[in-house]
Amino acid sequence: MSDHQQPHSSAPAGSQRPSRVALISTGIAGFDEILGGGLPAGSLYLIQGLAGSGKTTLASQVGFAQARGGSKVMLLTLIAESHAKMLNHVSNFDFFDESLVGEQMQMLSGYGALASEGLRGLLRLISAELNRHRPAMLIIDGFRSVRDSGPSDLNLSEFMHSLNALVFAMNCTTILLSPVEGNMPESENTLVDGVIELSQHESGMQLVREIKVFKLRGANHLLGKHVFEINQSGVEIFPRFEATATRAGKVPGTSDRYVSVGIPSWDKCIGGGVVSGSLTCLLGSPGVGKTLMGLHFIEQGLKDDQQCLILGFYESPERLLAKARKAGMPMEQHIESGALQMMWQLPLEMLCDDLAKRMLDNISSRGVTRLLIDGVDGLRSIVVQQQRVRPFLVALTNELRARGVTTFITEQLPYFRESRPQVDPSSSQLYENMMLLEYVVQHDVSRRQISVMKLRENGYDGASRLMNISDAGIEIDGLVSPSPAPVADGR
Amino acid sequence: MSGVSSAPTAALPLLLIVDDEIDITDTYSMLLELHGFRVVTAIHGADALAKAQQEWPDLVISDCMMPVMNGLELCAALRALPGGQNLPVILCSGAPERHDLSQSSHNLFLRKPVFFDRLLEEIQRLLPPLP
Repeated sequence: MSDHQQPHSSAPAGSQRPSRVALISTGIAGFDEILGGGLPAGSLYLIQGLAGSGKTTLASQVGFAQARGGSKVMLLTLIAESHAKMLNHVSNFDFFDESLVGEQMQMLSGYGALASEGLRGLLRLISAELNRHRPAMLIIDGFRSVRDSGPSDLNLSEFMHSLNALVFAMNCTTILLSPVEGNMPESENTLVDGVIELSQHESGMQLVREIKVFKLRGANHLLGKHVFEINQSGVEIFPRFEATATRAGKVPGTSDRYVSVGIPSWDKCIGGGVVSGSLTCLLGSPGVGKTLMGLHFIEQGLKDDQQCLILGFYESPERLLAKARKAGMPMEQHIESGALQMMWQLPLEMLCDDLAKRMLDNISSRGVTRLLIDGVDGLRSIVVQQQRVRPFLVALTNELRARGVTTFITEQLPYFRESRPQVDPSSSQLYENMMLLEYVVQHDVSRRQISVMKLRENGYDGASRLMNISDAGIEIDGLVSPSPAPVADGR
Repeated sequence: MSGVSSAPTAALPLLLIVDDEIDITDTYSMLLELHGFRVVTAIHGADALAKAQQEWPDLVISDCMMPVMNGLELCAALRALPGGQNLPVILCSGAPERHDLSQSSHNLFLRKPVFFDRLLEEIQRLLPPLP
């Protein structure tokens, strides 16, 4: 009776508000980011998704990461599947560590207790095991069996309340796995602190895995869907690029410094070059010299001792190097020195968020200041959900601008002028500068011409100028004669 | 728990847990029974008072904000009963600012959420030693 004899202050002992709930890192690339930092500790979560969606892999990976970090993890199965079989399924992943199984990672079955004693028996079993082993994390696989055991809605609701209170009192972060889809108004969804869904999106014959956080109490999670992959290392999540960019809210700075585009005769026509950190679209017919112009831009950066990067989709690195060499710009030594790197891949089944992340990681780690994206249509085509194309490009170009990376992006026009689609006026908002490269017939000879469609913060005339390509690369010639007739195609 | 389970039931300390949230009384009951306590639960202060008079507890854990009779009123009522002055009382609340705890004679206040380990430690500290 000693404590109550002491005078109580307005903030009695033990009444101090606890600090914010600790967030547990999941150890999965991208997962913490979409969760808003991690899983709030001591809470109850439901990870749902149909068979094959990756629930068990995701939860096992989180569990092994916790166990590897020294926390005790308990895996409780409510299905008839043996632990050996389940372990066998995850044993091929890099995160699997057999030495942790049995000690740091306990495996138990609750199927017997549920089948013979119902929800009350299962709750008793979980209480006893949490009390005995004191795990920091509990994963309950096959949680749908709880509903399948046939309780009334009220009993199921009571069970969910009790389970939530139990894991909270024991400060044991708990993940339930259930093979369902949709945010249903059922107690398994409503009486948990977070609901995460794994699903699959089909686009033609391509299938993309998606993850969505429906709710997460106590965390500032990223809304909407994100894509993920399951590979040798396990689950890798790619937060939707435009969602992370919106949250970061980076505002690009301004620059009054001009940088050379690597073609002196063209620099002269456009007032000394382009603004540092700006984005320039080279729009033009196939074979007109867009990529070569981009290579000039990169070569200038290399001459100025800048770190450069080329992201390409169609012409392989070897072909680009050969093209540059033929135009008097040998770049092999810069590849060897590391000043120039090329990221090349076919624009097929790949994840745009993954590519954007790798590109930006490369830019960050190497301090890249000049970037050539050779073929923006390649970038567009890998955005599986077409409604994402524009927001994705807006986010990407804003990020490059905010990082001060001076960027050239090539964009191909159709072969035949007549078949060109109406230009989307909003696409020009992506770029500070737009240059149009076309073929034109002059004195019965098909020639290349270049003109400025848009050049921000710079004086320019809209005149079309002849563009010559020789062994010395591109050189800008005089003005195109009045009223030339642009040709439909190349030469 | 083998040593405890072999003891006669009546010799086990009796805890009275009072909270209008049944999932909390349910959870603490299950866990505390695993640690060798007998547990009686009540859903508000008046219910608790009646149960305490049926069988006097060794320690009371009560929420503050409850219908019918709150935790502070329960504490005062228990103190007025014979032997009530020596009864350890733990009050818990998620919003202590709403109560004038300065006039209450409880032994210990814990802000919710109360993790089980902390609660167990305090129970063991406050319980009178076994004769």
